[in-house]
Amino acid sequence: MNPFELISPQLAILIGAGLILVYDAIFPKDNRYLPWMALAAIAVSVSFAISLAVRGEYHVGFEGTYSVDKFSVFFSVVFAGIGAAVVFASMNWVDRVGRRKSEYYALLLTATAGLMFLAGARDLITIFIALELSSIPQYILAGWGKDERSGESGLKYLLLGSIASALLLFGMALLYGLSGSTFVPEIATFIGENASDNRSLLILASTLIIAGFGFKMALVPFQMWVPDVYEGAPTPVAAFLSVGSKAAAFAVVLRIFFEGLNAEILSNDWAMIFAVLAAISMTVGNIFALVQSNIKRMLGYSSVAQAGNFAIGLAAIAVVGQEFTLAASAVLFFVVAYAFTNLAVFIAVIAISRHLESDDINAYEGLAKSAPLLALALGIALISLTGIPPSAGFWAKLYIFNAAAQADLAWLVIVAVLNSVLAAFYYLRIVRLMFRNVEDQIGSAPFAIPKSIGFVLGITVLGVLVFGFFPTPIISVAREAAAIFSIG
Amino acid sequence: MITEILWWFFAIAIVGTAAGVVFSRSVVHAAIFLILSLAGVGGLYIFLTVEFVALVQFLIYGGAVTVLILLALMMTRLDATGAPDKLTGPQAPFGALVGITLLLTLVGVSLATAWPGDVDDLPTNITIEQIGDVMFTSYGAPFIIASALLLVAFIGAIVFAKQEDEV
Repeated sequence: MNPFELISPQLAILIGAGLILVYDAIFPKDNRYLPWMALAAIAVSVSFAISLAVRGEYHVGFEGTYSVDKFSVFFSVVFAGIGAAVVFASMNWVDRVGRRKSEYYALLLTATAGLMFLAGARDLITIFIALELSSIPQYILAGWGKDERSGESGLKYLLLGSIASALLLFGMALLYGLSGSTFVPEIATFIGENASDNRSLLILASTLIIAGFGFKMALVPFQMWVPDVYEGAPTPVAAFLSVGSKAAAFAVVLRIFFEGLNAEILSNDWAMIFAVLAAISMTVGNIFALVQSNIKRMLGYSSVAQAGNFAIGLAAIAVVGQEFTLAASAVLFFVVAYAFTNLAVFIAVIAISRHLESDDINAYEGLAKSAPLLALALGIALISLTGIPPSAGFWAKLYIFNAAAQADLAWLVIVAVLNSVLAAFYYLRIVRLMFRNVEDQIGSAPFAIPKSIGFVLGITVLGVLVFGFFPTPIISVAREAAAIFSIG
Repeated sequence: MITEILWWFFAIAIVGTAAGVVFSRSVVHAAIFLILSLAGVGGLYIFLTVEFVALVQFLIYGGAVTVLILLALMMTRLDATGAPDKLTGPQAPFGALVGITLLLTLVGVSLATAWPGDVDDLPTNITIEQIGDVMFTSYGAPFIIASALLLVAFIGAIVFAKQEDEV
């Protein structure tokens, strides 16, 4: 099979990004169609990805360095969906900023393509460069706003992100130096034969790689950029960061650690690292989120805490062994549930901040009166983040806690449950504020939501509810996608 | 024999010029020392018969990167007195601690590891043609990604450089 057919979903998006730039160069006055071009590129890309899956064309291309399997198709579709949602969420904001629209959408598309490449990469060089393709546009987009804070956010993200990339590269270089290969399955073979002689180096390499991806996942102690970047970056970009690059980092970690470093002598060590990071991230994230008064900072810390929930899954997978698919599919289900939920929260925040012109949580008081539907949508999304049924977030947490319990990580489950209680305080505080009855409030005049935002908010909230009531289809898809690791 | 003498010549030159980068007072001198040091490393690559890496080292590091550094220096406003800015703050001891711990860990772990590849086993005489072949087969995907990455970096540079003039 032609290897370029394997990466056709990504190529479609990259070509779309190029067309947007060229179109803008030829017709600079006519920029109404730019977001629709971006959406069309994403639609074409998804149809390519799905057609690969439907035809059962699971192959490795480029001599094994890139793989189209159920796992990569699953993540490609998720990332394309996230990209499309962020395009919808951005339309209104980009129109108001009113400059460099084509570049904005082109960068968003390339970042999405980078995430999709990450999903299928099986070679350290490909993984690293795909990670950069997704990161560099995000650095630029984080600094897109006109105010100083956005500039600070972009610069901070760039500098700290470069350090994380350097650590990651160091870890990869150690792996390469030891095994003589950048190809993940070959590293696995080498480690399977020689792990016991080189345990300390392998643990050091794993730690460095975890540090590099931990930055993208926003795990403590690599989280220091999160609140500042989320606060300063334009909200649609923050939504993309919090969902897209986090999910991609988990996808790659699954790939590297469960395909490459899954030797038994090693996996218990890094599973312990993930378990400890999960516990710290949840606790630190939730405690700091409690005291925030700015909604975007609060969401930043909440995303740190949620990264901890993801990491529980990673810790569980390594320990479980035979129940492998269960735990891995828990992570994948969590990705989908979290993507819908967190996008819904961010999009609602975009709509509300646009009206209130404030990110202060206290300004949300009495919002249910002026914008009942919006308040309801945000309320449902926050309930899903807390993990209360019937929402997608509930099943995601249940699933991942169950996986951890099966893996004898009872202490981690207890920490996680206590943290969920803690998280309920600040999530539900917003819900309570919104539905409180107040007389005279700045936000009390009814206001309209832009159509594009309303549309995508509706879709994401619907997703949260539908998967809350009927989680089975996603669970079975997630199990199938996760099954690719169980053979190796 | 002659190779060995030349090798030592290059090795001493690299270390000497690298020290020059660190200790010279003027940034422009430091940049020139950097060019010499990087070119010296390129010379060492020729001894290893990896011409392509040597070529890349000369062109990209010796040429492009240092020219970029010099251009960047030209753009920055130099302090008339030439006094260097203070680069250390109250966090310096912690930074040193982290750095030293990392160094010790790396050295310790490296010594404890049975590295498989001895220098003699390295494949030599890799031609540029072979590299080209691999670039379009095994590394076809990263090659495409790299091209997109360069485009993105370029767009980013333009966006930020043209920040002022609002249209």
